[in-house]
Amino acid sequence: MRTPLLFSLALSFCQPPGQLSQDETARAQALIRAHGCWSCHTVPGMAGPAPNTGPPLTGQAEKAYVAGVAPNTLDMLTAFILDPQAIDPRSAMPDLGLSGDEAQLIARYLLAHGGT
Amino acid sequence: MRRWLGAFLVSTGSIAAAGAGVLLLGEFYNLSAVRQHPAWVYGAIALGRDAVIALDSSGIDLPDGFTPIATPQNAAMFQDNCARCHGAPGLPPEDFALAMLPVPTNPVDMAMNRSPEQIYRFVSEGLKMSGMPAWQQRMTEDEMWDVTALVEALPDLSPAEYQALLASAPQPRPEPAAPTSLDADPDRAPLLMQQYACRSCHIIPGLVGRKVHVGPSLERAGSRRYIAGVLPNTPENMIRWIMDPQKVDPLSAMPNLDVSRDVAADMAAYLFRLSPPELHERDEAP
Ligand code: HEC
Ligand code: HEC
Ligand code: HEC
Repeated sequence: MRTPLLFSLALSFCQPPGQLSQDETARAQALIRAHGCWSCHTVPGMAGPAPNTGPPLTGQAEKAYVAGVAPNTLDMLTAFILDPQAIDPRSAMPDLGLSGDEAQLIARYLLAHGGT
Repeated sequence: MRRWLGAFLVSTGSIAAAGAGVLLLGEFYNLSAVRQHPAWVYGAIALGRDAVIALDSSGIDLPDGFTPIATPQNAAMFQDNCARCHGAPGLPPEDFALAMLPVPTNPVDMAMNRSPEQIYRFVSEGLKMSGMPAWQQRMTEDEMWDVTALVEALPDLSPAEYQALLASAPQPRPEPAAPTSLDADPDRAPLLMQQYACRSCHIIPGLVGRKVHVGPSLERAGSRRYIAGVLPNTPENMIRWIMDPQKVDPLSAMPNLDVSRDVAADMAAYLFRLSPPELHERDEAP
């Protein structure tokens, strides 16, 4: 009786706080595909040709800065994905016309996916 | 076979025990800068240091006509670069340096106990894990010998004389110059990147350090389409970026590290060798 309880408790601690549901993960990946993010970036959890126009989005949660200019928080990452030039006017990343919710979902996806 | 095994176990066991003993008795587990090593450990480390320095400096030749001499120029050079940690006759080090461990050697003591070759060796290459930096990328060879000549002259100088030299130093004070080279050479880059602390913010293949993500890993920076996401990646632009990032992007978190053009060119060549520029057509956004 106790063991499965402890086990599931331990499991829940292993999950990073920003963990996405399966449905959210699928929606985030669909957005990333639809908006061509992975034609410029290596995206974690999605196999692809490892393009190198922009920096890899792998290990996003470990980075100190978003785009090398702003503290790496969920809000800042969302704001950058929504409108890169609002964060850094010189940024070469285009504004991809996402909604605020879409940008935040992608930001949460990136922060939740550490490795390659 | 069994005998060999026994001997092996006994010898590895005693090596491990000796290691543990040194670790515990020598207080190597204590990493704080307020707890000194016991005297015998300090003695053993100093013995090792001096043996290695004697060996290292035996290959160094004094330049022709080297003499210990104090001039307004080399006194100013010492005051601005070395006295911050070591102090000078009658003048204290900066506040933070008082609490360093090991405490930076008093410069008069250096002169009394070290040959010019040894002083030069310390200045040029520094001393690992002590806080003594290497100056070979901060000064030319001539300037390092000038500072050495000043150190060796200190025991004959009263504090008042030293300070009189400083007072007559040319204004503005002479700045040490980085050594110059002619052609970009990627083989020099790992040492240079280490000497300019690039590794304190970037993971760089070929350099050892912590898993840091303050700046992006430089593994594929050479083939990335944009430098720092703002500047088309060309060899010339890479040099510009390394020399003055905030001139390229005023918002950038990468500071200006006062890298000369020669040094930046070596570093850029290394980044392009790690990851050669690609044809980018197929990365174009749809
Ligand atoms: C950031 C502080 C710092 C600066 C700046 C600095 N040093 Fe040092 N230096 C040290 C420390 C720490 C040691 C190690 C002392 C020890 O091993 O006990 C040291 C050791 C030395 C030694 C060896 C001393 C000995 O007899 O063992 C020499 C020589 C020396 N420094 C010269 C210089 C000169 C010349 C400059 C300026 C070009 C300079 N240092 C700048 C911190 C500094
Ligand atoms: C204090 C931390 C820090 C130090 C030290 C530092 N950098 Fe950077 N570097 C950064 C940051 C942060 C960025 C991202 C800047 C941006 O995007 O605006 C960056 C970006 C770069 C880039 C562009 C990378 C890319 O993928 O586009 C290169 C190349 C680079 N640095 C090289 C160097 C070199 C060479 C040195 C040593 C001379 C160095 N850096 C020292 C923080 C640092
Ligand atoms: C046309 C190419 C391109 C497309 C498409 C693109 N990006 Fe970017 N992206 C870039 C470039 C270039 C940078 C570097 C910008 C900078 O540093 O200012 C960047 C930077 C980023 C960063 C900051 C990375 C870091 O290391 O700090 C994130 C996050 C990001 N992009 C997410 C996305 C997402 C999500 C999408 C899809 C919605 C996307 N990008 C689509 C080119 C692109």
